[in-house]
Amino acid sequence: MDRDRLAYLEKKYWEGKTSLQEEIELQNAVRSGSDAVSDLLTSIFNATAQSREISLDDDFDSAFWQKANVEHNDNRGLVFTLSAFMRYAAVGIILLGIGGVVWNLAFKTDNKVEVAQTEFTIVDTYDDPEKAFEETKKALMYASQKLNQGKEPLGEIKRFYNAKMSIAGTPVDTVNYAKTNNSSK
Amino acid sequence: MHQNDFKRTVFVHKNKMYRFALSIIGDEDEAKDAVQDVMLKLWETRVELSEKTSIEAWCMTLIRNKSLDILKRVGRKLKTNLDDASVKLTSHDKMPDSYTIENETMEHINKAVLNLPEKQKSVFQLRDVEGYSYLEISETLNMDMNQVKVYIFRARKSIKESLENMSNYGQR
Repeated sequence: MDRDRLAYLEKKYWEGKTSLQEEIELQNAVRSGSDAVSDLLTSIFNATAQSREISLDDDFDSAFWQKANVEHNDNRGLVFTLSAFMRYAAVGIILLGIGGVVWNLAFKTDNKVEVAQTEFTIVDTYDDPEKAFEETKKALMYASQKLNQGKEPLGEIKRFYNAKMSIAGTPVDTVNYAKTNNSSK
Repeated sequence: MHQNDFKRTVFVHKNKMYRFALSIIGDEDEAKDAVQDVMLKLWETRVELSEKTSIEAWCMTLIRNKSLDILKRVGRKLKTNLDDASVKLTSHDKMPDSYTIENETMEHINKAVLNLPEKQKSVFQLRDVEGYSYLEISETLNMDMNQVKVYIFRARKSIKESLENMSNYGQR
C-alpha cells in the first residue's frame, strides 16, 4: 500500500477523524507487517486485536441456561397467575364498560320518561291561574281546619294541669313565676 | 421468543458484552457476573425485545449500566486490581524472545486503557476493539455523535502520550 496514504491515514487516526473503512485499511497494513505504520500504532492495534480474542468459556453457557431455566420454572406459576389475573381483570373492565353504556342507552332513557310521566300524573299543574288559586285556597283551608281540630285536645290538657296545681295549693301564676326565676338563675 | 431465537439474537452478543464489562470493571469474575445478570434480565423480558430497534445496542447499554453499578459498589477494591487485570487482558501466545518486550507494551497499553476516564474508555472499547460506527456508539452510550468523536480523539491521544512516555523512560 502507498506509504503516503498510510501516513495520512495514521495522522487522521490520531486526530479521531478516520472512518471505519480507513481504520480497517490501517489494521490490514499492520497485519501485513508494513513499516509505513508507526510502532506506536502497531502496538495499539496488536493490543486491540488481542482484546477482541477475549471470550467467555463454555461453562458460562451451561451455568446461564441452568439458572435461566430454574428461575423460569420458579417464576412460571407467579407469572401465569399475574398475567391471567391481568387478562381477566381487563376483560371484566371492558364488559363492565360495555354493560354501563348499554344500560345508559337502553334503560336510563325509559326511566327518565317514566319519572317524568309519574310526576306529571301525581303532582299535576293547572293552566288556569284562577283555578290554581282556588285549588290552593281549598287545600290551605283544609290544612287549617285539621290544625284547629288538633288543638282541641291541647286545651283539655291545659285545663287538667291548672286543676292539678290548684289542688296542690299553688296558684298557677306563682308556679310559672317560680319556674321562670329558677331557670333564669 | 424461544430459546433458539434468544441464542441467535441476544446470547450471540455475550462475548462483546463481557469484553465491554471487563474494560469498565477490570475484574473477570465481576464482569462475568454482570453479563450473567444482564442476560437473565434479557431472558426474563425477552417478549419485549422485539420492540427494540437494535438488540445489540440494547445489550451493550444494559451491560454498561450494570458494570457502572458494580464499579460504584466495589470500585475501590477493583482499582487496586487494575495491574492484575492489565496482565490478564494480555494474551501469551508469542514466542519467548519477543514475548517480554511485547508483553510489557501490551500491559502498558491495557493499563493506559483501563485508566482512561469512563466515557473515553467506553468509546475506545466500542470503536477500536469492537469496530462500532460513531452512530452505533452514540446510540449505545446515549451520547451526541460529536461528543463521541471528541472522546475517541482524547482517548487515543491519552494512550499515545502514555506509550510515548513509556518509550522515553525506556530510552533513558
